[in-house]
Amino acid sequence: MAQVLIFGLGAEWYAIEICRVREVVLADTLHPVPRAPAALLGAVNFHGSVVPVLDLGAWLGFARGARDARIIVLEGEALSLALAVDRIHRIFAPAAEDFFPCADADVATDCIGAHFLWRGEVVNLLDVDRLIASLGFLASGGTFFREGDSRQSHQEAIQGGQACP
Amino acid sequence: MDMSRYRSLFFSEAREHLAAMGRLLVALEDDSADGETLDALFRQAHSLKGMAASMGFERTAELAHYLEDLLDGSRRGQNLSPQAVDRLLAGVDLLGELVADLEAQRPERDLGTFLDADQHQAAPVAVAPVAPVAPVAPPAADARAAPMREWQVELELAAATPAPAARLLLIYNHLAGLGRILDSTPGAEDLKAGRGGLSLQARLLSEREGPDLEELLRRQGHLAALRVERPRPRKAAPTRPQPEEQPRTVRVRTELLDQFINLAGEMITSRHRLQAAHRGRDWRNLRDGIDGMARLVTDLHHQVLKVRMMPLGSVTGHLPRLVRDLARRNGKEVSFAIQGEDLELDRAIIEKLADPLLHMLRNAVDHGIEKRGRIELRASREKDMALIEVIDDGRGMDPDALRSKAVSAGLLSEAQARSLRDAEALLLVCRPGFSTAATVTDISGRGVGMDVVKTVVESLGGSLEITSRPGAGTRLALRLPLSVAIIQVLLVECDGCLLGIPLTRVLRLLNLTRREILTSGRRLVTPLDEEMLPLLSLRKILQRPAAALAKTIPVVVCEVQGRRVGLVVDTLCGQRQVFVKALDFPLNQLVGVAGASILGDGRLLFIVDPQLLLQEHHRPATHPAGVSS
Repeated sequence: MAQVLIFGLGAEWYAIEICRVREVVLADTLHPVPRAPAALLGAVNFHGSVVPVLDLGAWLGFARGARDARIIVLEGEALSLALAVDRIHRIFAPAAEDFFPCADADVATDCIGAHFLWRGEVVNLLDVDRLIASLGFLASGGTFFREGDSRQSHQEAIQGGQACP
Repeated sequence: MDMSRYRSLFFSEAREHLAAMGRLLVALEDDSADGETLDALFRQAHSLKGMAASMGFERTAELAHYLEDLLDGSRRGQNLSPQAVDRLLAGVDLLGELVADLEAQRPERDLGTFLDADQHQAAPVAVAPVAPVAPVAPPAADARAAPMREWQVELELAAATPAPAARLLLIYNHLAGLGRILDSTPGAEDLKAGRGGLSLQARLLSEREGPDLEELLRRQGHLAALRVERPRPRKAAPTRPQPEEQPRTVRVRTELLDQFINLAGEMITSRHRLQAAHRGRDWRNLRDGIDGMARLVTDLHHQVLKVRMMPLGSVTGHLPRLVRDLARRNGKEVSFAIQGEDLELDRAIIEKLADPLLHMLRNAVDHGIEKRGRIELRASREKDMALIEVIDDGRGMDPDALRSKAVSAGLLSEAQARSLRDAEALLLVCRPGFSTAATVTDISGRGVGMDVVKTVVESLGGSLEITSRPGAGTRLALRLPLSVAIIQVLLVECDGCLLGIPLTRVLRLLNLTRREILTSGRRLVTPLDEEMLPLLSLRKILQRPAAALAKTIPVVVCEVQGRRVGLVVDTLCGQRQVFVKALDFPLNQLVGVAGASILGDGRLLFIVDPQLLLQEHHRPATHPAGVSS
């Protein structure tokens, strides 16, 4: 298994594959984005390009807490997005046996691709493509970044996911 | 050898040759004795033939060769009839379709129908034939509309079938009616000559389903065996990228590339100088070095913009042909001239101009010109804008007729219509649905597609102006920026967010006192030029909390769909020139946010387009949105 970057949201651990990360940078100045929702904290000037910063916790329905001063800038063509998370922890290379199966329903719900055990704790591996698609899905409904019911279902899905192992 | 590099070069050059041929042919029709034009045409066909042959595109080369022959025949002195020009144009069209086939990685289509049409017409093309040749219907017209699939059809006649050759030919013709036959064994020629046994194999391109095809063929009777299936993938695996994935290429003049290299070299020298000055704390050299670097960056920027520039001619090549066809269809005689085709504009602008030009010319032919007349397309520089005009000497438009039509269509009240100046009344034809709202009078019938023209031009940061007098013709003038990347913006502040509004969108600025703001129903308005200007809060549009109104209220007056509205902002912060960056996903999903720019101090400036902001959020009829006071 490739390396992952482990970070925390609320009381949970999440991870993202290193190959999906372009850079982890300090985000000292966030510029407000017109028409953006609350979960979009603002945009940063990242090496001369405009990159919006999504509050991943808020997007997935966590209560807003402390935020790491660094952001995770995602890799992608014709995509610019950075994730703000509660705390960025470390890079780790999970072994195949660290992964454990999980009820399909949980995996199918939002933005979690797999689970693995790390130091005895469950880590949710972020499905970046699904996360990106969730932004696009709202756009097609004409209510991009608008507060809506989907937030609630995110919350339920994640709570459901916790009961998984 | 990697052919893909040559492929894209072939396609870009083939398209240029085709456009040139269309243009030359139309010119030739006006003056068919013009030997130079004929020679130029011949050369175009010849180069295309050579290119196609060296790429191994056999049918394309064959057709180019055929056209070359036709032209060569005409070079020997006789005048070209309009029908002959039709024939040549049809050939050029077919050539275009072959090239399109190749580009889409389809096999080249059959030339049989086109070449056969020639056999019915014994006279050489150069002489006007007795009966006009029906222009060959472009067989590809439907190919683009419906999903065409390839089918492999194999059939065998029962052994006792009487006159098997004729039966096979009937079936072949039937097949041809169901789609397009790519090739067959035995071939069409053999079948027509009565050769061939009891079996037929054909590759058919059809939008019908396999079972349908089978059913239809079975009805032909006398079949011993029939098989219709999707062809097996051919041995050449489709490893080549699909056409839409092929990188878009630009041809750049070599001098420009040389200048890039020179600039890059100078910048490297300059960097070493700066580093040395920095190490030695040589402040004077450091300052000079920075000045030098600034000049180099400006130069480089300038050169890079030049690469993006394309001559207008790259999208006007087919227009003489278009005007000619439109005029012939309407039974009108129209002479058409283009001036200033070498005017250069940013490629992003050029690419979006094709549609508006088409609508304007179609309107001029359909509605402007009565029986015969003249249309001109003129392009020129006007300060740092490009001016593109479509001028006709037709019947013109009557502002009064437009006013009364707008009133009867319920678009304007009597009073509103009266208050419009003539220039504004003419712009009524750009209201979406204006011409479809009621029966269009002869004089006002110009509206089709004009809403598209206005929208495109405005989305590019340009403007549209119409001048016309009944009986004295019409002039449509587009003013467009030469480059999209650098624009002038008005800086405004709204709830701590700095925003840029393109200056082309701003009509004027007001500083209102509270007394000047009136209520009308639930809306806030202010009197301006004898009408009531609706006021909208930018904060409200952006869903920000409302602010307490200050002593004076800054208002940006913009035009949105032909109506003026006032945007109430927190502060006006001046204007400046900015380099606009297009936004990537997901920010490009925000309607009304057109781009962003990075200011000198590193701050981000989002550029908003009032038209789009308001279209999405403010629909006057249903959701009145006002300034909360």
